[in-house]
Amino acid sequence: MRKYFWVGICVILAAFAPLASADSATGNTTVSVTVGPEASLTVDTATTTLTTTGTVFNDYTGTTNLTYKIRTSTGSGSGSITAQVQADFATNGPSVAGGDLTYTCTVSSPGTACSQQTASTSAATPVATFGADAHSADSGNSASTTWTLKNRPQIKTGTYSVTVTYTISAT
Amino acid sequence: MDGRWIEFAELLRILGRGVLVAFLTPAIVNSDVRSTTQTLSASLYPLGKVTVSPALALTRSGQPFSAYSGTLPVNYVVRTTSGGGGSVTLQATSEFSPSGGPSVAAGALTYTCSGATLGTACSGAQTVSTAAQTPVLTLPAGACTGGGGYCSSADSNSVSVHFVMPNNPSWKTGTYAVSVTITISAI
Repeated sequence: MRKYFWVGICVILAAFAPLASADSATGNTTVSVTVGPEASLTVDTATTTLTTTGTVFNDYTGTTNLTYKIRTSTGSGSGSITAQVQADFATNGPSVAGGDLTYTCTVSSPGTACSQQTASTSAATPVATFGADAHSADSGNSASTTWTLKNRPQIKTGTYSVTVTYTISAT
Repeated sequence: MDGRWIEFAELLRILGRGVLVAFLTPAIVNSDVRSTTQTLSASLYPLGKVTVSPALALTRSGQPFSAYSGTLPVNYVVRTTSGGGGSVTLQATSEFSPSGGPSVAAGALTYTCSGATLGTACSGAQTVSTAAQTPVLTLPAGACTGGGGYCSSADSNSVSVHFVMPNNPSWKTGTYAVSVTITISAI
Protein backbone atom coordinates (compact mmCIF):
# COMPACT_ATOMS: atom_id res chain seq x y z
CA MET A 1 0.00 0.00 0.00
CA ARG A 2 2.82 2.34 0.94
CA LYS A 3 4.52 1.65 -2.40
CA TYR A 4 1.40 2.63 -4.30
CA PHE A 5 1.15 5.81 -2.32
CA TRP A 6 4.57 6.98 -3.51
CA VAL A 7 3.89 5.87 -7.04
CA GLY A 8 0.76 7.97 -6.94
CA ILE A 9 2.70 10.97 -5.70
CA CYS A 10 5.18 10.61 -8.55
CA VAL A 11 2.40 10.36 -11.11
CA ILE A 12 0.80 13.52 -9.77
CA LEU A 13 4.08 15.38 -9.83
CA ALA A 14 4.77 14.22 -13.36
CA ALA A 15 1.35 15.37 -14.45
CA PHE A 16 1.91 18.85 -13.12
CA ALA A 17 5.52 19.17 -14.28
CA PRO A 18 4.67 20.98 -17.53
CA LEU A 19 2.96 23.70 -15.52
CA ALA A 20 6.29 24.70 -14.04
CA SER A 21 6.82 27.03 -17.00
CA ALA A 22 8.66 29.96 -15.49
CA ASP A 23 12.19 30.48 -14.34
CA SER A 24 14.22 33.18 -12.71
CA ALA A 25 17.82 33.56 -11.70
CA THR A 26 19.91 36.25 -10.09
CA GLY A 27 23.40 37.69 -10.11
CA ASN A 28 24.91 40.03 -7.58
CA THR A 29 27.37 42.86 -7.83
CA THR A 30 28.68 45.40 -5.38
CA VAL A 31 28.68 48.96 -6.59
CA SER A 32 31.21 51.09 -4.74
CA VAL A 33 32.48 54.62 -4.89
CA THR A 34 35.40 56.30 -3.17
CA VAL A 35 34.56 59.86 -2.24
CA GLY A 36 37.65 61.99 -1.82
CA PRO A 37 38.39 65.59 -0.90
CA GLU A 38 37.41 67.98 -3.65
CA ALA A 39 37.01 71.68 -4.18
CA SER A 40 35.84 73.98 -6.93
CA LEU A 41 35.55 77.72 -7.26
CA THR A 42 33.61 80.03 -9.52
CA VAL A 43 34.33 83.73 -9.82
CA ASP A 44 30.91 85.27 -10.20
CA THR A 45 32.22 88.77 -10.85
CA ALA A 46 34.28 88.47 -13.96
CA THR A 47 35.43 92.07 -13.86
CA THR A 48 35.44 94.08 -10.70
CA THR A 49 35.47 97.82 -11.28
CA LEU A 50 36.89 99.80 -8.39
CA THR A 51 35.22 103.13 -7.80
CA THR A 52 35.61 106.03 -5.44
CA THR A 53 32.90 108.02 -3.80
CA GLY A 54 32.69 110.80 -1.30
CA THR A 55 35.63 112.89 -0.31
CA VAL A 56 38.36 113.70 -2.80
CA PHE A 57 41.15 111.12 -2.79
CA ASN A 58 39.03 108.57 -1.06
CA ASP A 59 40.26 105.08 -1.88
CA TYR A 60 38.76 103.06 -4.72
CA THR A 61 36.76 100.02 -3.63
CA GLY A 62 34.99 97.12 -5.22
CA THR A 63 33.85 93.57 -4.41
CA THR A 64 34.51 90.30 -6.21
CA ASN A 65 31.97 87.59 -5.49
CA LEU A 66 32.87 83.89 -5.43
CA THR A 67 31.00 80.61 -5.14
CA TYR A 68 32.89 77.67 -3.75
CA LYS A 69 32.25 73.99 -3.24
CA ILE A 70 34.40 72.03 -0.89
CA ARG A 71 34.71 68.68 0.82
CA THR A 72 37.68 68.05 3.07
CA SER A 73 38.74 64.77 4.58
CA THR A 74 37.75 63.67 7.99
CA GLY A 75 40.57 63.58 10.49
CA SER A 76 43.43 65.69 9.20
CA GLY A 77 41.77 67.31 6.19
CA SER A 78 41.89 71.02 5.47
CA GLY A 79 41.26 73.52 2.73
CA SER A 80 41.91 77.06 1.63
CA ILE A 81 41.06 79.79 -0.85
CA THR A 82 43.85 82.13 -1.83
CA ALA A 83 44.32 85.08 -4.15
CA GLN A 84 47.35 86.24 -6.10
CA VAL A 85 47.82 89.15 -8.47
CA GLN A 86 49.43 87.92 -11.66
CA ALA A 87 51.30 91.13 -12.53
CA ASP A 88 51.48 94.65 -11.23
CA PHE A 89 49.56 97.62 -12.54
CA ALA A 90 51.09 99.49 -15.41
CA THR A 91 53.86 102.01 -14.82
CA ASN A 92 52.81 105.31 -13.28
CA GLY A 93 49.70 103.63 -11.91
CA PRO A 94 48.98 102.14 -8.52
CA SER A 95 51.46 99.58 -7.26
CA VAL A 96 50.66 96.16 -5.93
CA ALA A 97 54.26 95.78 -4.90
CA GLY A 98 54.01 99.07 -3.09
CA GLY A 99 51.07 97.82 -1.06
CA ASP A 100 48.40 99.95 -2.75
CA LEU A 101 45.96 97.04 -3.14
CA THR A 102 44.45 95.46 -0.06
CA TYR A 103 41.37 93.39 0.56
CA THR A 104 39.08 91.99 3.19
CA CYS A 105 37.17 88.71 2.98
CA THR A 106 33.68 87.48 3.61
CA VAL A 107 33.16 83.71 3.62
CA SER A 108 30.09 81.73 4.56
CA SER A 109 30.36 78.68 6.81
CA PRO A 110 32.14 76.28 6.91
CA GLY A 111 34.91 78.63 5.78
CA THR A 112 36.77 81.08 7.96
CA ALA A 113 37.35 84.47 6.38
CA CYS A 114 40.76 86.09 6.25
CA SER A 115 41.65 89.24 8.10
CA GLN A 116 42.68 92.24 5.97
CA GLN A 117 45.37 91.28 3.50
CA THR A 118 47.76 93.12 1.22
CA ALA A 119 47.63 91.72 -2.29
CA SER A 120 50.84 90.33 -3.74
CA THR A 121 52.23 89.37 -7.09
CA SER A 122 54.83 87.06 -5.57
CA ALA A 123 52.76 84.95 -3.22
CA ALA A 124 49.23 83.71 -2.79
CA THR A 125 47.52 85.40 0.10
CA PRO A 126 44.64 83.91 2.10
CA VAL A 127 40.97 84.44 1.48
CA ALA A 128 39.50 81.58 3.49
CA THR A 129 40.53 78.51 5.41
CA PHE A 130 38.67 75.27 6.08
CA GLY A 131 39.07 72.61 8.72
CA ALA A 132 38.70 68.85 8.56
CA ASP A 133 35.41 67.34 7.42
CA ALA A 134 34.22 70.63 5.94
CA HIS A 135 31.33 70.50 3.49
CA SER A 136 29.76 73.22 1.43
CA ALA A 137 26.19 73.07 0.25
CA ASP A 138 25.55 71.00 -2.86
CA SER A 139 24.84 74.20 -4.78
CA GLY A 140 27.92 75.90 -3.40
CA ASN A 141 28.61 78.55 -0.76
CA SER A 142 29.37 82.23 -1.14
CA ALA A 143 32.54 84.17 -0.49
CA SER A 144 33.83 87.57 -1.55
CA THR A 145 36.83 89.81 -1.44
CA THR A 146 36.35 93.55 -1.06
CA TRP A 147 39.22 95.42 -2.65
CA THR A 148 40.65 98.74 -1.56
CA LEU A 149 43.05 100.61 -3.82
CA LYS A 150 44.89 103.64 -2.53
CA ASN A 151 44.05 106.82 -4.39
CA ARG A 152 47.37 108.54 -4.24
CA PRO A 153 47.76 111.92 -6.01
CA GLN A 154 50.99 110.67 -7.58
CA ILE A 155 49.15 108.18 -9.73
CA LYS A 156 48.71 109.41 -13.28
CA THR A 157 45.20 109.57 -14.61
CA GLY A 158 44.08 106.60 -16.68
CA THR A 159 42.53 103.14 -16.41
CA TYR A 160 44.61 100.46 -14.73
CA SER A 161 43.91 96.78 -14.26
CA VAL A 162 45.40 93.65 -12.84
CA THR A 163 44.38 90.02 -13.03
CA VAL A 164 43.82 88.13 -9.80
CA THR A 165 43.95 84.36 -9.63
CA TYR A 166 41.91 82.62 -6.95
CA THR A 167 42.88 79.12 -5.93
CA ILE A 168 40.88 76.69 -3.82
CA SER A 169 42.33 73.47 -2.46
CA ALA A 170 41.17 70.62 -0.26
CA THR A 171 42.90 67.71 1.36
CA MET B 1 31.82 -37.72 -74.71
CA ASP B 2 28.33 -36.82 -75.61
CA GLY B 3 27.69 -33.13 -75.53
CA ARG B 4 24.89 -33.56 -72.98
CA TRP B 5 27.22 -35.33 -70.61
CA ILE B 6 29.64 -32.53 -70.96
CA GLU B 7 26.99 -30.00 -70.06
CA PHE B 8 25.89 -32.12 -67.10
CA ALA B 9 29.46 -32.41 -65.85
CA GLU B 10 29.87 -28.64 -66.10
CA LEU B 11 26.68 -28.10 -64.14
CA LEU B 12 27.90 -30.34 -61.34
CA ARG B 13 31.16 -28.47 -61.23
CA ILE B 14 29.40 -25.16 -60.82
CA LEU B 15 27.01 -26.50 -58.20
CA GLY B 16 29.97 -27.94 -56.36
CA ARG B 17 31.50 -24.46 -56.09
CA GLY B 18 28.23 -23.09 -54.78
CA VAL B 19 28.05 -25.73 -52.10
CA LEU B 20 31.61 -24.98 -51.15
CA VAL B 21 30.80 -21.26 -50.90
CA ALA B 22 27.70 -22.00 -48.89
CA PHE B 23 29.71 -23.97 -46.39
CA LEU B 24 32.37 -21.33 -46.14
CA THR B 25 29.93 -18.47 -45.48
CA PRO B 26 27.47 -19.77 -42.94
CA ALA B 27 27.37 -16.46 -41.03
CA ILE B 28 26.03 -14.56 -43.99
CA VAL B 29 23.46 -17.06 -44.74
CA ASN B 30 22.37 -17.27 -41.11
CA SER B 31 22.45 -13.43 -40.31
CA ASP B 32 19.34 -11.61 -39.12
CA VAL B 33 18.53 -7.85 -39.13
CA ARG B 34 15.82 -6.42 -37.01
CA SER B 35 14.86 -2.80 -36.45
CA THR B 36 12.75 -0.97 -33.96
CA THR B 37 11.93 2.66 -33.18
CA GLN B 38 11.99 4.63 -30.00
CA THR B 39 10.53 8.09 -29.44
CA LEU B 40 12.74 10.55 -27.62
CA SER B 41 11.03 13.58 -26.22
CA ALA B 42 12.17 16.51 -24.13
CA SER B 43 10.11 19.26 -22.59
CA LEU B 44 12.02 22.54 -22.91
CA TYR B 45 10.93 25.03 -20.30
CA PRO B 46 11.69 28.73 -20.19
CA LEU B 47 15.03 29.35 -18.54
CA GLY B 48 17.23 32.27 -17.71
CA LYS B 49 20.70 32.77 -16.33
CA VAL B 50 22.43 36.05 -15.62
CA THR B 51 26.10 36.73 -14.95
CA VAL B 52 27.64 39.96 -13.71
CA SER B 53 30.99 41.07 -12.39
CA PRO B 54 31.05 40.78 -8.61
CA ALA B 55 32.22 44.37 -8.19
CA LEU B 56 31.92 47.69 -9.97
CA ALA B 57 33.77 50.83 -8.86
CA LEU B 58 32.28 54.14 -9.90
CA THR B 59 34.84 56.76 -10.79
CA ARG B 60 34.87 60.47 -11.39
CA SER B 61 36.41 62.11 -14.40
CA GLY B 62 36.72 65.69 -15.43
CA GLN B 63 36.02 68.66 -13.21
CA PRO B 64 35.75 68.58 -9.41
CA PHE B 65 32.34 67.50 -8.22
CA SER B 66 31.51 65.98 -11.58
CA ALA B 67 29.40 62.85 -11.33
CA TYR B 68 30.70 59.37 -10.60
CA SER B 69 29.91 56.75 -13.19
CA GLY B 70 30.64 53.19 -14.24
CA THR B 71 29.34 50.60 -16.67
CA LEU B 72 28.29 47.11 -15.64
CA PRO B 73 28.10 44.52 -18.42
CA VAL B 74 25.26 42.08 -17.76
CA ASN B 75 25.53 38.77 -19.58
CA TYR B 76 22.54 36.49 -19.87
CA VAL B 77 21.24 33.40 -21.58
CA VAL B 78 17.52 32.91 -21.86
CA ARG B 79 14.75 30.96 -23.47
CA THR B 80 11.17 32.15 -23.38
CA THR B 81 8.04 30.37 -24.53
CA SER B 82 6.17 31.35 -27.65
CA GLY B 83 3.47 32.94 -25.58
CA GLY B 84 5.66 34.20 -22.78
CA GLY B 85 8.43 36.69 -22.40
CA GLY B 86 10.89 37.76 -19.80
CA SER B 87 12.72 40.55 -18.12
CA VAL B 88 15.94 41.55 -16.44
CA THR B 89 15.55 43.78 -13.42
CA LEU B 90 17.80 45.39 -10.87
CA GLN B 91 17.41 46.14 -7.17
CA ALA B 92 19.67 47.37 -4.41
CA THR B 93 19.55 44.95 -1.51
CA SER B 94 20.30 47.64 1.04
CA GLU B 95 21.50 51.22 1.44
CA PHE B 96 25.02 52.43 0.83
CA SER B 97 27.33 51.59 3.65
CA PRO B 98 28.65 53.27 5.70
CA SER B 99 26.28 56.16 6.21
CA GLY B 100 27.33 59.73 5.61
CA GLY B 101 27.64 59.34 1.88
CA PRO B 102 25.33 58.68 -1.04
CA SER B 103 21.85 57.35 -0.42
CA VAL B 104 19.87 54.98 -2.61
CA ALA B 105 16.66 56.10 -0.94
CA ALA B 106 17.48 59.69 -1.84
CA GLY B 107 17.80 58.73 -5.48
CA ALA B 108 21.56 59.09 -5.66
CA LEU B 109 22.11 56.06 -7.88
CA THR B 110 20.61 56.08 -11.35
CA TYR B 111 21.34 54.12 -14.49
CA THR B 112 20.63 53.81 -18.16
CA CYS B 113 20.66 50.67 -20.28
CA SER B 114 22.09 50.17 -23.73
CA GLY B 115 23.42 47.68 -26.24
CA ALA B 116 21.03 44.81 -25.60
CA THR B 117 21.85 41.94 -27.97
CA LEU B 118 18.51 40.27 -27.27
CA GLY B 119 15.44 42.08 -26.05
CA THR B 120 14.80 45.75 -25.49
CA ALA B 121 16.93 47.74 -23.08
CA CYS B 122 15.26 50.01 -20.56
CA SER B 123 14.34 53.43 -21.74
CA GLY B 124 15.61 56.61 -20.12
CA ALA B 125 17.22 57.02 -16.74
CA GLN B 126 16.12 54.65 -14.00
CA THR B 127 16.55 55.26 -10.32
CA VAL B 128 17.85 52.35 -8.28
CA SER B 129 15.61 51.38 -5.42
CA THR B 130 15.89 49.21 -2.35
CA ALA B 131 12.13 48.69 -2.29
CA ALA B 132 11.38 47.57 -5.82
CA GLN B 133 12.96 46.03 -8.86
CA THR B 134 13.53 48.43 -11.70
CA PRO B 135 13.76 47.46 -15.37
CA VAL B 136 16.93 46.70 -17.26
CA LEU B 137 15.64 44.68 -20.16
CA THR B 138 12.42 43.31 -21.63
CA LEU B 139 12.57 39.96 -23.40
CA PRO B 140 10.08 39.04 -26.11
CA ALA B 141 8.13 35.82 -26.50
CA GLY B 142 9.94 33.02 -28.26
CA ALA B 143 13.35 34.44 -27.51
CA CYS B 144 16.37 32.25 -27.17
CA THR B 145 20.08 32.71 -26.84
CA GLY B 146 22.57 31.35 -29.34
CA GLY B 147 22.53 29.36 -32.52
CA GLY B 148 21.23 31.97 -34.89
CA GLY B 149 18.04 31.54 -36.87
CA TYR B 150 15.12 32.43 -34.68
CA CYS B 151 17.53 32.59 -31.73
CA SER B 152 20.14 35.25 -31.27
CA SER B 153 23.43 34.61 -32.98
CA ALA B 154 25.41 35.40 -29.83
CA ASP B 155 25.92 32.45 -27.51
CA SER B 156 25.63 34.75 -24.54
CA ASN B 157 23.62 37.92 -24.75
CA SER B 158 24.56 41.12 -23.02
CA VAL B 159 23.27 44.51 -22.04
CA SER B 160 25.22 47.39 -20.52
CA VAL B 161 24.02 49.13 -17.39
CA HIS B 162 25.61 52.56 -17.01
CA PHE B 163 25.42 53.79 -13.43
CA VAL B 164 25.63 57.49 -12.64
CA MET B 165 25.84 59.11 -9.25
CA PRO B 166 26.13 62.79 -8.38
CA ASN B 167 29.07 64.06 -6.38
CA ASN B 168 27.67 66.02 -3.49
CA PRO B 169 30.03 68.12 -1.35
CA SER B 170 27.96 67.22 1.70
CA TRP B 171 29.10 63.59 1.58
CA LYS B 172 31.89 62.65 3.91
CA THR B 173 35.06 61.37 2.35
CA GLY B 174 35.40 57.60 2.28
CA THR B 175 34.45 54.50 0.32
CA TYR B 176 30.80 53.57 0.11
CA ALA B 177 29.32 50.35 -1.25
CA VAL B 178 25.92 48.93 -2.01
CA SER B 179 24.93 45.44 -3.14
CA VAL B 180 22.83 45.21 -6.26
CA THR B 181 20.94 42.13 -7.40
CA ILE B 182 20.23 41.53 -11.06
CA THR B 183 17.30 39.19 -11.70
CA ILE B 184 16.36 37.52 -14.96
CA SER B 185 12.89 36.03 -15.35
CA ALA B 186 11.60 33.92 -18.20
CA ILE B 187 8.07 32.72 -18.87
